Amino acid sequence: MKKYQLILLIDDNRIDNFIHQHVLSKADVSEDILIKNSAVEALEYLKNPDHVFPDVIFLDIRMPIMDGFGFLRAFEELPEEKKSAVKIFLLSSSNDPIDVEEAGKYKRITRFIQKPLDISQLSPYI
Amino acid sequence: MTPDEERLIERLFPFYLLMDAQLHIVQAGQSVKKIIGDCIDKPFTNYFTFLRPGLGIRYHIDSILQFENQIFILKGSNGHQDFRLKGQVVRSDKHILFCGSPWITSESDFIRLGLKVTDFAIHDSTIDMMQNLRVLDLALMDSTHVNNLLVSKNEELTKTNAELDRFVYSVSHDLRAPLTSLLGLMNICNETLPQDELFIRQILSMMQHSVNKMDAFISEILDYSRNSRKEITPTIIDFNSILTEANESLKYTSNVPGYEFSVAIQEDNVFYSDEQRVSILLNNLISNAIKYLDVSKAKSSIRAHVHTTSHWAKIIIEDNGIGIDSSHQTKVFDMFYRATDISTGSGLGLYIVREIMHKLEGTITLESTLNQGTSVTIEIPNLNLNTFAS
Repeated sequence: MKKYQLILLIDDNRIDNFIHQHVLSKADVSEDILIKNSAVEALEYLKNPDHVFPDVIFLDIRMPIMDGFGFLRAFEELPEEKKSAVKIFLLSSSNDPIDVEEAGKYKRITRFIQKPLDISQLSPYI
Repeated sequence: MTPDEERLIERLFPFYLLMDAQLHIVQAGQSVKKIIGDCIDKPFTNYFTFLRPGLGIRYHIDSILQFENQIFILKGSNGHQDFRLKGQVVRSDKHILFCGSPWITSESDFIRLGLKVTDFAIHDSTIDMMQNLRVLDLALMDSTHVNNLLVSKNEELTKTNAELDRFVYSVSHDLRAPLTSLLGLMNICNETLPQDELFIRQILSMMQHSVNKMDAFISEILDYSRNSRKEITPTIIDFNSILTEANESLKYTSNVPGYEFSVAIQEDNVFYSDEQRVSILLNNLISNAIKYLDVSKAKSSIRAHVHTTSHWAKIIIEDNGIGIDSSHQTKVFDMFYRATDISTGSGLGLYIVREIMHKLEGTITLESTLNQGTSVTIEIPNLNLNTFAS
């Protein structure tokens, strides 16, 4: 029995999704890993009540159409009982203070992580 | 009047009037004729009344001449325009000579009466005043113009700065994004490769080194650009956590030999400064201390001392590393200057430190002895409320 049922990866960069999937599979913490290439697709998935709701979300900041912060705002519209248990990790290749500051405004974010993702960065949290 | 006298009078008083005993105008200056037209042989009273002297004067030559030593103000009219002349009367044979000039209070009077500067005597106080007004007016117009220019330039600069900020931000992100992807892929390769693939592991490690170096360089450019543009925002500085975090994040970055890191803090007062800048400062100094450790020494050490007061913080970062040759010591703060061939950096680190010190209005001193070690002392002002009040 693994710790989590589902981890959701949201990143428009397919290579990064591949890396994150690889790192997380190796860590062997989740039954399944689901990849979405945009925030919009991810929201569509999450809004469907028949779908398995993820335990952990890895969210990229810079994405076209809807960025990570846009996703977080839309995420708040989802039912509380579903979203309250989710751990959200914000991933970015920049440690720009503008992003770090903005991230501080969202209480739901578990941790701001700079790419590349390394399992040692996550061990205290998952 | 002789023709010579007439010419002289004309030049000195272009608005003169010469009246006979019956107060008929017998001669008049060119400029006054310009206003009232051909007035020769016509009665003075057709055109003029006395505003001054007001009391006791009659329109008679003897009466007028009793006021010879007083200022006259004549109210004139040519039927459709009113105007005033200011001057004096003098006796001339059996005539009265009025010498004066128009009493003009604004530039519009010139236009209204159709007068030009050449209609006045060479030295006329009216003209002097009008010219002074004109100069003031021009100066005012100039300063308004310069002011408007400054305002628009300023707006332009603000816009450019904002655009540059956005540019630096997105370029840095776009440059770093592929690098972090590369690093991630290399990590995977490294983990997946069989143990005996030593050669490929070596190559991978070199690739990682190059990518890390480029990434560090981009970060330094970002630090520099942020320092030059961002406003200083003072918050409480927790030196212990900044120093510890800097050391933690740096000690794993490259193959660093072991060293002892110690922090000693004497906090007499809460210290306020710009956290991000202080963090960049200390990161750079500790990074240098680590980079230039002396592997030939039995025990390497890096010591940080911090002392805060209500006015400043004094920070000393001391190491027993390779030291800096005295000939290089003055240049290490220059842009892109690298004092040693074992340097792996971009030559921007201490330049950024100096720029930040400049921004925070602090001081920095460097003492170093080759093969013995380096000590950098910085003093930065406490940006607490006292500083702002004074």
